[in-house]
Amino acid sequence: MTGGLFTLGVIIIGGVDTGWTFYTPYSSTYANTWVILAATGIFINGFSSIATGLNFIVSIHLLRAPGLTWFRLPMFVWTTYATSLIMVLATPVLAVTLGLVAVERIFGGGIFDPAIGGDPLLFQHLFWFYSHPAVYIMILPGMGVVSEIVPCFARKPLFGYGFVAMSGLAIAALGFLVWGHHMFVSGQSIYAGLLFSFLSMLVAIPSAVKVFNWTATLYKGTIFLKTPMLYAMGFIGLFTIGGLTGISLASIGFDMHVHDTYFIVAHFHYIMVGGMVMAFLGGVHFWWPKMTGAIYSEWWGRVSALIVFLGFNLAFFPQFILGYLGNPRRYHAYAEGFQVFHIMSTLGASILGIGYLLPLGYLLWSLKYGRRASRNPWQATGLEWTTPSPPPTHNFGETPTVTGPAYDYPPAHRELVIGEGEPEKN
Amino acid sequence: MSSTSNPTHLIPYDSPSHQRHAAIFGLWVFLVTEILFFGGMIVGYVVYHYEYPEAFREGSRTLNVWAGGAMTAVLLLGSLLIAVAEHLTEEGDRDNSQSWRGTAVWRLAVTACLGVVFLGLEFYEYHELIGEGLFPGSQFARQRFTDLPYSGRAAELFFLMFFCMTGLHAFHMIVGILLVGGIGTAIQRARQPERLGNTLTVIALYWHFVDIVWIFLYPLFYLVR
Amino acid sequence: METSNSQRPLYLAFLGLMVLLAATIGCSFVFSGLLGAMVAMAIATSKMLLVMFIFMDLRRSPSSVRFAACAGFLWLFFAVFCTLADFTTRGWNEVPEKTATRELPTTYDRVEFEN
Repeated sequence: MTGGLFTLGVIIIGGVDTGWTFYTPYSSTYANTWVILAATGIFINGFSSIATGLNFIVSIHLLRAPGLTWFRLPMFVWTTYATSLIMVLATPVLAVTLGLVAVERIFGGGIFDPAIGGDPLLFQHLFWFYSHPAVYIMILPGMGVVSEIVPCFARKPLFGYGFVAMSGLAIAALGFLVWGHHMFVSGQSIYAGLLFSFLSMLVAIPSAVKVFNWTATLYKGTIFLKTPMLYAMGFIGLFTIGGLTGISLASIGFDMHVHDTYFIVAHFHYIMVGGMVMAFLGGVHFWWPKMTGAIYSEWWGRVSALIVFLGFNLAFFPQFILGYLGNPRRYHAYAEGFQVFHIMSTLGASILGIGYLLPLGYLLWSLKYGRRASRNPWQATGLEWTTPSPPPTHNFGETPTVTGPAYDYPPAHRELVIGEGEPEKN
Repeated sequence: MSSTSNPTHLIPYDSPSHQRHAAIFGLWVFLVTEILFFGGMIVGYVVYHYEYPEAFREGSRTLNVWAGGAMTAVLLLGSLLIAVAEHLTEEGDRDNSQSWRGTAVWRLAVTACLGVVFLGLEFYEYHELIGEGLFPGSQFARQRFTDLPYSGRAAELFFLMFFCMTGLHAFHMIVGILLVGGIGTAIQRARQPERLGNTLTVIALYWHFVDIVWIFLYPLFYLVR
Repeated sequence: METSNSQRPLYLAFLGLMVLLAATIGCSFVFSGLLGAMVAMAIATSKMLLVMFIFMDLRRSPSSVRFAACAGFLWLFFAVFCTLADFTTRGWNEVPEKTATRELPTTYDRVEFEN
């Protein structure tokens, strides 16, 4: 909160003109805006992420329910664990880097100023040591959500549970070794570029393990295309496209060609929006009955999932083509020949906007007018479905004991009826 | 399920040892973040030492090896005392006796005082260096290092890293002294001092960590002549 | 107060630390350059291990705690190693110290290198 206030305050009193990356020496020497104040805000936010990550790690290690062994954990917990590891290990480096920028601004030493012996690339190294793993902070929980939704609506155990769990950790660990792929054209050594290029391609392995395992879970499953499942399947497809373009971007030659073009923008959004936001919406729709005790309109849910999927692809797929043709990003104007693609992209973005507004409407509507959910509307496994919806303040009357593996789905029913029930008294 | 029926440990834990494990593990995870917090600067140090070895040698010659050595010894003695105090607490907890309290508090007080001595020595050194114009910035006395690149400003990088890293360490020392002083006072006053065992362990771990940082800073800055 | 058995390792560790401190100061007069740095770091690492295993009681800690401690140092190694992978292999002019201009730039806008 305090950190957010600092950062928002900076926007109001004059803004920061360094771009989100704070690249030196511009940020440390030349920028005349509120760099230090903004850095303070980020610093405080960093403390909160560290504390959150620490809390998750210790809780997952030591406060599991009896019988809930490591390999019975829901996949969402595994990915939260991997995310927390990244938060704990990466955030301090960003904090100290911003501290050095502040020191340089105040005392005028030359840590990052090439004019007096410093090296601005050092800042980029330290910055991306945090900021590359940061994108895995964003995507890993999404992967966890999808790993929850897919088995539930395919009515099958998650295929290759151990591999999915370990691939999350592998992504978290490898994510720390690839930051140099943001710096291929920044003037770092070509040999370091080769190393980072190779390591970046390695990240594709655990990511692919996940995608293949989700697909294998669907295979011969009894698939129910409810709203969360639509989002999850959208995630799998879009994440695959984003991931595959990621591999091509990791090769230095291709990156030189499309660096700082719309290709990067499209790749990033396929992972972050096509991946993370789809997973987020899927998660919201999956746990909405649990969180609020209300059942939303399934018809509207499916319609909006489709609109989001179509709008997203219309908005960002043309950007791959634009970028490949050489349209740079961060410019306000573009060459005439690119207009068709830009119009498609804008149209898609508008459709995407409608797709995002719809859930806001029908989810809020369901709070007041929706039917009431039973304890376990999706007949899902997992401890959270054994408490009333919405859960009381003390989740469990007595500590539950776990006896079986996660995703122990019974043989498929013919139909998945959304369970309704009366609100329970605690 | 209430804390009154289970006075020795808090709600989510099964037993006192469970709670102790959580406290120690949590602090170690915090120390990992601290390692990487200093780690960012260590990366900077390594890079600049690699790029300007001569400047770092020149800079290191201006620092006093013996004062630095004395500071290291002072810190390590403090670490010993706090570790002994911790053992006394643990044994006192087992024996259910109160006799350990005075000796433990006495050691904690000395530890905090040694921390103050350390900071005194460090700030005196800062004072000397600033007096010689070696504080980085526009006033930096680069005429002393004209043989070095950038009219001697490469040496400024050494002092920049020196002040940043030792300064960050000094900040941790101040926090540590306040914590050790605080836990000493708390043990002195508490009605059931053995229940402060976990807190003392956690603070001791932090103190040892700050020592370890200095164990590395000392050779990195004072001994690269 | 008499020293109980459980405290003896602490005093021995302190003795070891003092010996190592003397050793590192002594070595700094004998060795210099890369060798000196390696010796100093080796001694500092042994001091750290003494503090961690004896004072911080890592020898009696649960495996999760040791795991956390290892992770910290492993990640620090990642950071240093990958950054150095860049700086040590640039080879433009070797390191800047040998080739950078000895004049202070007059303006911040433009920096000229001599060769």
